Amino acid sequence: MALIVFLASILIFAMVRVTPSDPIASMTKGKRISQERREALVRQYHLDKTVPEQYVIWITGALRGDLGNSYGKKQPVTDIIASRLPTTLQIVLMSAVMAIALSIPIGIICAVKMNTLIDRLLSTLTLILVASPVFLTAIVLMLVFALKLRWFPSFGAGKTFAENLYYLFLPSLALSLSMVALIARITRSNMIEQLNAPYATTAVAKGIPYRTVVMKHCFKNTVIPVVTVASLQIGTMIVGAVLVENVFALGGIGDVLISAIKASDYPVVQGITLLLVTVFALINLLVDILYAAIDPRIRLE
Amino acid sequence: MTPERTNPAPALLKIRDLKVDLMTVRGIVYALDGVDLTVGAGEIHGVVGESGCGKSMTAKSILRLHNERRCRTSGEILFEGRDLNRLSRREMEQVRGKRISMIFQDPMVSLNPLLCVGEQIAETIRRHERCPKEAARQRALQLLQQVGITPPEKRYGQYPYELSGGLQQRVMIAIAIACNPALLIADEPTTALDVTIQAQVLELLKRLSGEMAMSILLITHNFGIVAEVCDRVSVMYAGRVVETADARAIFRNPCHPYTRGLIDSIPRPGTRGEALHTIPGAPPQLYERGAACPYMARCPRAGAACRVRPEAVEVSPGHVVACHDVKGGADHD
Repeated sequence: MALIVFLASILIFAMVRVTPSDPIASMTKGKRISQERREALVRQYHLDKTVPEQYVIWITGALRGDLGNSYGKKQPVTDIIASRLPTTLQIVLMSAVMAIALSIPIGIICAVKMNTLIDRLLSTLTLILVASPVFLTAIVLMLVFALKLRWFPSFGAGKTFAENLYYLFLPSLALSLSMVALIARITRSNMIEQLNAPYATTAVAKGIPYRTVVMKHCFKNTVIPVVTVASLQIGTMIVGAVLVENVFALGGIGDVLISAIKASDYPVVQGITLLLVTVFALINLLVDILYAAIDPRIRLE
Repeated sequence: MTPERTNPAPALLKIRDLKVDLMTVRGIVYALDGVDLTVGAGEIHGVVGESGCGKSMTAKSILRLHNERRCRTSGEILFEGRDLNRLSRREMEQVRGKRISMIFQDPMVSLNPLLCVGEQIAETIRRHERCPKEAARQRALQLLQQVGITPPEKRYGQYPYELSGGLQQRVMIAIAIACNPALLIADEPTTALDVTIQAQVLELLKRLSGEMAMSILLITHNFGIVAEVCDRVSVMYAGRVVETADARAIFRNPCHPYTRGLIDSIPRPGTRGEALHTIPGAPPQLYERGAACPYMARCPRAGAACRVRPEAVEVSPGHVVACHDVKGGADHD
């Protein structure tokens, strides 16, 4: 895992440098400056050194927990991340929990009631959700539940933890819906496959009630591919959250990342991307551990 | 309509005129078209026939394991004084695994890959005997021993993928006999196994049948297996039983031309170089229920009478045949 993050850091660093842009312009916000001032800035940010040297400076700093200073905002990247990450992480975690809590039961119900009215209804609904873009769902939810019904606030993140949960409910729901759709569909098709598997027939032939066959025997077998997809989705959601954050005016990490890319704010782009890679790798590690817990065949390897 | 048969053993399972129609996207398939089958207590009863003749369907219908939403079923399945077709879902769950249990063709996929084998045995015991966990565990260990899996303590915690095909099938058998059922349905239990293992598994089934006074309904397409272990045998063709007899009688005196064809098709040593005997043609598609004898098109002795479906006739005690020809071909051209 450490290796993956290390290789990714090289890639991130290189890619940021490849873009044809002028970081000095981002620091001065496009104002004209004297040649001496310019050179001083170049030296201050080590832009006069070769790229590998710059990398070494950056990565050794990063290992000590210092991701450098933002060019534009003149504040440490770690501070920016620290101020923005909690909201994003909370939205992502909440929507992941919501998505899983909604989608797996939906998928199981659809599979058990395959080709009945209820299956058709839920399948159509999830199909619509999977097709509608996040920002649209977010705006619709906001219009209906925040502006029309006034059940939820339409922007902001709240101050206390309880307030947080309440303020971030709608954004998280908006973000989770497309994931709900995807996971529900995967759960459905996997569950159908498992219900038709010979071992399920064996369980029925043993006299085990159908409900127990579904929940004890088939559920575990169904959940493995679902975990894979869910974990990948959670990774993408961190960046996907930016759309929701925009609609609900929550300063999140995706927002900062995109404006930093536009402004060629190298340290911010690198810092946040490295963070995302690390989170991805961590999720993957968790998923691997989870796999081994579920499936004895994987424990060997 | 079925003539009374003289069975040496009292009947444990009596299937009468069982019909199962499957609703498929391509139309209705008349999978079972009036199956009559009687299994005596303690008897090993073979069911033989080509692929698609309804052997497995019969087996599954007894425990009602087929998708009932897509099937239309009629007829009686009398077992221990009750018609299984009339039982409620809950009553059926009490029969499955307790009075009638079943083992399948491919043990590798018939065991849950994520549960250790001991747990899969103990689960059945806990379900039907309502006993504490530890007692179920002890019983499961005993069962492992009984089906020849040693050392049971070590095997109990192993997962299906850690066992060979033969051991997996033994585990399936242990699950099946866990609650001392009166009937074990074995649906091609040895087809997926090596020949040497086949013999061991058959030997085990035979031994258990004797020890536990348990009847076995053995579905197979292999007449060799019938000769080895079965007391009686039924031959199925196109969703019906065409001939039922003692296992010895069927080899000595096969009455139905289809049975004769099947027995002639068994390769024999010492006939190398000669072409294997085959039955011309293929079994009929079961999309319609014809009035004629379904075997007519392939039958070497077909005549005008065969345009009407033959009733089952008892030609000698315990030997029932559904063919017009058995009376000496009087109706023939």
